[in-house]
Amino acid sequence: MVFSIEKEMRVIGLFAIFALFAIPSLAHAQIGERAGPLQFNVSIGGNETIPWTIFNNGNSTVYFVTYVGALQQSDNQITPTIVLMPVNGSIAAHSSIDLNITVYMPAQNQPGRGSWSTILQVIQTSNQTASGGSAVIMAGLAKAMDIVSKLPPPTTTTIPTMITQSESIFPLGSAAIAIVVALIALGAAGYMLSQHKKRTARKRARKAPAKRARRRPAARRSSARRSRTPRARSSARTTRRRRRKR
Amino acid sequence: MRTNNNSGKVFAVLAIGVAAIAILSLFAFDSVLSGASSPSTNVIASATVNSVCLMSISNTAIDFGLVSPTVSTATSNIVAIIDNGGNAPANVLVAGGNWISGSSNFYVANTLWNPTSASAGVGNSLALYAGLASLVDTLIQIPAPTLLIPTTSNNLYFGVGIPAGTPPGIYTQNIVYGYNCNGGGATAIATNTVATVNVPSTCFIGVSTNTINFGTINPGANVPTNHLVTVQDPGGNIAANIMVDGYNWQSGSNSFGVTNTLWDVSTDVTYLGNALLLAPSGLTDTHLQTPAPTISNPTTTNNIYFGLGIPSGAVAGAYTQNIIIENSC
Repeated sequence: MVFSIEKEMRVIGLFAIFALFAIPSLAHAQIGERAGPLQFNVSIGGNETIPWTIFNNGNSTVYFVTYVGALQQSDNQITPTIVLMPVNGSIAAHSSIDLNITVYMPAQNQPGRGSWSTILQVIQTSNQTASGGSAVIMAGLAKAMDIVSKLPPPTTTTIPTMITQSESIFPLGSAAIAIVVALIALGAAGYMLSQHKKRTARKRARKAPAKRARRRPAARRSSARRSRTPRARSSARTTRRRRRKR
Repeated sequence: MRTNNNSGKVFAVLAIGVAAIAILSLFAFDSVLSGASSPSTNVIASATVNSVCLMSISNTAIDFGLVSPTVSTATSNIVAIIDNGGNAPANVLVAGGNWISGSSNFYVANTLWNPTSASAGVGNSLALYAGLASLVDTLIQIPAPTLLIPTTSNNLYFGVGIPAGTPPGIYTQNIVYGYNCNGGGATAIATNTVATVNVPSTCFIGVSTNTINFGTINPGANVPTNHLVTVQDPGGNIAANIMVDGYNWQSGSNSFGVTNTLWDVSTDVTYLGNALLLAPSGLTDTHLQTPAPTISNPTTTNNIYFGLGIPSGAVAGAYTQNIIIENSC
């Protein structure tokens, strides 16, 4: 409670002068709020919570109770539910508290249709005992609140992938298995064919010198034998070795 | 055979090359070994290492966020002062400018600094910067770096309190950091650091009295609507609408209706005015406002008056009622 200046000066002289300069520090607790209505835009079937901050800039603890005004039915829509927590409590000196207001929007409502308004109240409860014929004055704060509904946000659905035992061993699938087997078979066939060709070519190469040797006249053959130098013999050996390797 | 001859030649060339390398190396090594004994010139180098502080700060911006008038933040916004490789100790100096938002401003001293993190309102007021000589020694020391610890630092913590009546807006303040190296003169580290605070529109409520004593009234009689209650806004920064409602008069099990209490925005010599309605649904806008406070006028007021009429046939007794007066912004 903040006494009026006139009462202070009538009661005590020096103390009144001191009180005049010290009123801010002697002031009873005062509650405050930030300006502006609370705007709720609530998804159908969902809820939204907004804090309402109440300050105590006085030097003593403030005790309070809260009230939520009634909502009017709107446009054939079901009235949403409002929950304000805490419903009562205290705020220490020079501190603040957040009162959480939650609005629950019925799922049956249509998005964008219907709007609701009401007043929230925080009343500073007093420990003043009124005597007969007295009214107790209680200070409070009022906050306008507006509610509209909206479509819920789109949800993404993840389709789980089923992995069977067989797929875990052969992850490529049956078609891929067939392709791999075919490639292996083709490769093996090609290798075998190339080996056969090489063997055939070597056989032919071995037969051809023998045939040419049989066709050559004896003198030529013997002179060829006589004229074979060590170098020629070595060259011939090398050639035979190469043919064998092939 | 040809192959044997070729490999032999290659081997011979390689052998000659290796021998040549070996011989050259031997000459080079020999000249190094014999160097000590040969005449040479000694060069003596010298250098002087100064005593220096190489200072910087960790962040050039502080944001205190949303802070209403009459509210103080904790002194916990941290700025580190760092020595990046100097070799002398330094003391941290600090000062700043006033908070400014357009044409509104409040004093620099509402910013607090502290060597440790502290709760709201704890700390030292920031001094107004007016040149290097105005920087205040925080007595926070940055230890001298060493070869093992080439970077040293210490922290400075900041908080702010918003004066009552500060107009809404985003306020900024310039903070100047400095140091004195090894007890020397003041040197600036950073002169363009900015602190920011957002002051929202806020209203408070206080009432001048907790009770109204209407006295003793006979059934069927009334008292004029001249019982004053002064409604205050002690520290907000926006005008607030005054709203009223109340509860029924009660005396034990007896009661009579709240509407027998009237309210008015001006004093009346008779029982006149608007009927008080039942709380909480009967909250009524009086269309009266507590004006927006300002820094020069941080508490604003307005008056509302009440009167009472006792209905005929009311049972005798000592009745009480709760009247609720609310600010709404």
